[in-house]
Amino acid sequence: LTDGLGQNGIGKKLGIVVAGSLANGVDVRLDAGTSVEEVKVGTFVSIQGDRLRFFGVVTDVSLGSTDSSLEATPPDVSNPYIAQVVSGTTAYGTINVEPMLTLGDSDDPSEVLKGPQPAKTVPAHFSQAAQASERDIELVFGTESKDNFWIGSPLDMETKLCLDIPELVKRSNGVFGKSGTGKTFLTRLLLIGILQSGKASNLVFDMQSEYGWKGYKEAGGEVKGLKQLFSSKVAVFSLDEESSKRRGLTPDYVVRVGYEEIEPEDIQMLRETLGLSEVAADASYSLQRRFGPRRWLKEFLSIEDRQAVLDLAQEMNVNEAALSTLHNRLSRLRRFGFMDENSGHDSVSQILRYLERGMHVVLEFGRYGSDLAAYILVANLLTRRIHQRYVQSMEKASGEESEKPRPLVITIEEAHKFLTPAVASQTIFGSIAREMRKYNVTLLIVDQRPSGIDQEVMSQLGTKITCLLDSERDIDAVLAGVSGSRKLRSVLARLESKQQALIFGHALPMPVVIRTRDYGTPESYRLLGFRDAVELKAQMERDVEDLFGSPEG
Amino acid sequence: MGEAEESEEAVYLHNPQLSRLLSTEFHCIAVGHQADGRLLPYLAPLPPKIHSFVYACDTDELLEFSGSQDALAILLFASFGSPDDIVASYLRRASLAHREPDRFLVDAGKELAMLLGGQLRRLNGLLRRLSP
Repeated sequence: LTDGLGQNGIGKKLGIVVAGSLANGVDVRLDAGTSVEEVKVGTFVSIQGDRLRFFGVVTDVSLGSTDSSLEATPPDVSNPYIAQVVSGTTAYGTINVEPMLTLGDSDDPSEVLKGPQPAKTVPAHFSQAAQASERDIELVFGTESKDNFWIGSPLDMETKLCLDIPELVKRSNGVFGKSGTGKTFLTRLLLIGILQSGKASNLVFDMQSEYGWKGYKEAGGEVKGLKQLFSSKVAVFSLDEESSKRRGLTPDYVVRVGYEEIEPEDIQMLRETLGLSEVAADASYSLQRRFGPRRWLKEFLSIEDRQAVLDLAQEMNVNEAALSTLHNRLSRLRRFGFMDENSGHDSVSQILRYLERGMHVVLEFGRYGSDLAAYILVANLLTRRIHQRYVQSMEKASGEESEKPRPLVITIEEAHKFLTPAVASQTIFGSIAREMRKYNVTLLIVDQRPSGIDQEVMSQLGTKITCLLDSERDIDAVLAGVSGSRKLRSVLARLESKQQALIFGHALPMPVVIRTRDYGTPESYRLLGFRDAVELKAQMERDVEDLFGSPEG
Repeated sequence: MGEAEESEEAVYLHNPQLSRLLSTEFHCIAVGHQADGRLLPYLAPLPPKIHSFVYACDTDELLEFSGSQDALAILLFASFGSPDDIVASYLRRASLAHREPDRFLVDAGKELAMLLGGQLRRLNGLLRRLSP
């Protein structure tokens, strides 16, 4: 074996265990030959105990000395000889390793079959700690396969680290990180992983129109979207046909929303975005009672005259100012080009039809992506109705033993707008996040301000993938309820700002820091199974040749 | 006496009694012994007999004995003379017997650093004496 690996696939030796506890992790004193600078927080480490093999991550790196007077009278390190002698002896490095998993005695087949188990003890004194090898990573995270999606590599390693997609889609998940840290790239990869596994369908509310046809790199340049890579499996719906066409895409369906589809609950969701008071938002329920469930908004907005609105308020016995504000703010909806006075739109059925055929649907918002009100309105409205249908089919399936609908993963961005503590308990997204997989619908939440999301929702997320966060509150929110969170904090706060993420939760056996796999180069597309036209033609020619023999022959 | 002599040898030549009157005496610290053909880096159960002859170790013996640094502790904590100078001079001499003297000195230095944990000042002085 090369690359500094020893025999039996054991990685580079780091040092020996000298102290520690299960609660606080074990301290490993680095060998004289290992510089502290070689070991980074988040590195994946294996420790060979007497009977068990432990896997853990480095959560802290510290400097130690045998002599307390070292700080006051440092040795003469300008002398290279003295520096060489003192480092690793009088002055040494220690790392703190949080043991996460154990693997039983490799001679006992039943232990090996059980696979890695959560660590319930610590390695004995003087156990040897080594950097995890490629084999260790495969042992813990599995090898790349249809269900095991290669998401990136551990720090400083080239090994493929895989996510268990069937496990991932069983629950709602979150991708977090401040802006510009690679959330979109990670999300795109997750969507591809789900698509390739075939374990679930995706419905993406694509706010910035960067998943469907093409996206942009921060450094400049375009990257292919899902439709370009997997055209037969992905349908792009658009709210803004012009914008889609300008970007070179003919959408599969242009979504329109009729006034009759909007319900008072949708207005509740928009309260914060439209700046409505509670009274004003509640007035929509009175309007619904007054004009009838499907007609209220159209009737209300058709009132042009301010005095008429005030009269209506008196008539309905609601606050005049509140109703007038509501009228004002809801008039904004009329400016949305996708709103349609005519009824008879059935975007929901269209979406469901595609999903039933095993397709994945990306809904592009085009220019409306910059209007949060449009995004919240449409996402909420469609999701509520899709969820209703799923609940019906699931109940039908359990009653008649018919086939259950394929699990659906709904991706939403700016999730804190949907899931603030104030609204999470009432909205559809809140209930999807909480009821988990009961109805085969889960969420993929993409957000930069996790502290704005309801705690209960956060605690229900199965797998969290987080890029760099630097606000204390956001870090707290992401790590709330995770064992060893104190240790993960230091790891999370020190992620690099690009292409690095900490992943933990159900889809993988232990928390790990990854370097996200490349996306956006021709090679990366090829690794994702994409064949461009030239390659397809060559393949076809080869196939023809195989069938009929070469023309010369 | 001997002021007019031209060389040290001449002083002794013209004053033969001197070699009987003056003698050089040195003290030894026993740091190991040989048993069953092996050099062991710790004290023998019995001290050497009186009138035993004393020889300097040859290079092979020095090489074998200094292959382990276990005897350093005995030297460092000797209760007379200047142990640090003795250690330094022993190690410098032993290093010459090794194929990689610098490597040997670094390893020996690390052993000293361990033995002198908590005595940084002393370690510093010792290392300075050893530094090539």
